[in-house]
Amino acid sequence: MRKEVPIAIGFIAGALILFEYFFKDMAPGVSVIATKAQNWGSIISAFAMGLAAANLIVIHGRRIRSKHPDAWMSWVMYAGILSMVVTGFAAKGTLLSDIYTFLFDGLYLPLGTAMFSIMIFFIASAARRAFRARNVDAMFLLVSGLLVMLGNAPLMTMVSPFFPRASSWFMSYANVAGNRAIMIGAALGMVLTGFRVIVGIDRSYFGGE
Amino acid sequence: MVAGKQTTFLFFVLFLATAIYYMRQAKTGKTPFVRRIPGLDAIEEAVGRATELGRPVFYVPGRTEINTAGAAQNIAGLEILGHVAKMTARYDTELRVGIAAANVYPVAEAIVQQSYLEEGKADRVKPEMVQFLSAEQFAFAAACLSIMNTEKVASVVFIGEFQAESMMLAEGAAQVGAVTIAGTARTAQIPFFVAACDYTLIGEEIFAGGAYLSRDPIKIGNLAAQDWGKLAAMVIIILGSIMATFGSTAMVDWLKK
Repeated sequence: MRKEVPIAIGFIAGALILFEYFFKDMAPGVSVIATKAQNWGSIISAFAMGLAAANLIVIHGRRIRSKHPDAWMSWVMYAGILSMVVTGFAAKGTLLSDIYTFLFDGLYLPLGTAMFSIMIFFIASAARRAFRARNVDAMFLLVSGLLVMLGNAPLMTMVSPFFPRASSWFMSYANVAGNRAIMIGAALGMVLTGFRVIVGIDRSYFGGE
Repeated sequence: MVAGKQTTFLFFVLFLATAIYYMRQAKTGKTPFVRRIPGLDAIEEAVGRATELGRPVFYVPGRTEINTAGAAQNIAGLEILGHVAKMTARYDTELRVGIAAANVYPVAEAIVQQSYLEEGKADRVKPEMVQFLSAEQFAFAAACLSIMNTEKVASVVFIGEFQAESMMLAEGAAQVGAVTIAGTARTAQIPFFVAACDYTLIGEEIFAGGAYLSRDPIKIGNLAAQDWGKLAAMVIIILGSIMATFGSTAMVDWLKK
């Protein structure tokens, strides 16, 4: 029963969504039921957030108890969770609500932006290794990468119209052709993975084969 | 039927019929040939390296929620996680699984527990093995970088749906000297993985992972159907291009039906 019930629910929900996608004109009421099924999915996902938060609290609790050298970070994490939960539930216009806005706009968003901004260094570092002409494939990558980069540099467009044209060709033909080939293969894989899960052939997400 | 989806439905039915045919064939012992996929072969090597060095394997089964359009990629990532967890259990190697989506967490935890149970090592499962890190994209990336650096992981496997954080994860892993195996079907992230990782599973290869590693004949049968689907797509593209060149829109009109 531990496996059969989820598989049955998965089959009914999956078949319903598929039916709605192809035949909603024939049975207008099915869209309402399909939307409800998707909303239920979102509600169940919200419960999973509680489990995930519990995991975070347990792991950091163990770290503090084991006197891990970085246990102070776990205290910071607890303080972060507590402060956001307490201030997040406060009514609008109160001091706590202002603190929440400050924490969100003044700390949470800038930290996210800071992490995003350092990505350029990761890209530069990876490019340094990738753009070494070690073999024919890497040489193609190097040449096409250089042409696309030069074609997008304003200075090179002034030097010669070849660079923007070459860049445009790579992006419009070589890049699009490769992307679409990957997308077609991946889409077929997704359809079959979905099918296997819906009909219960694939049960690997339960932990077994 | 909904207008504009008739041809899609026809292809869908034909595709599933082909898949069912090959699954039945596989059950009778007629399994199709599967080419070598170096990225999947390298998983055993990566776990072996971690075992030799006495350091952990770090696994991320995608970053997005399981109830989104990327669900199939996450399921593929979770399927391969089961195999990796079995290997780490068998060799007594430490495993760390970083989770970004709350609804993936219980699934990943169940998979790891079941894999350890099947290897007779249920007592080795610790809460730290599968850890929910953050649902926020770059907080998650920062947490992964922290785990890779502080625990000096020997091998990392990223398989599933990733977004902009893919570059940070892959390059961060390369910087700690880990063997990196990554795979996604998101075309925007594949170049990042190709540039930064030792092995990359491109697009459909991640969906073949479960079949390839488990050698399950039914799943291998599915791969043959995928190949027929690709062949059909190629024929349609070539025929459509020729017809369009000669001014005929019949193929385009048929596909739009």
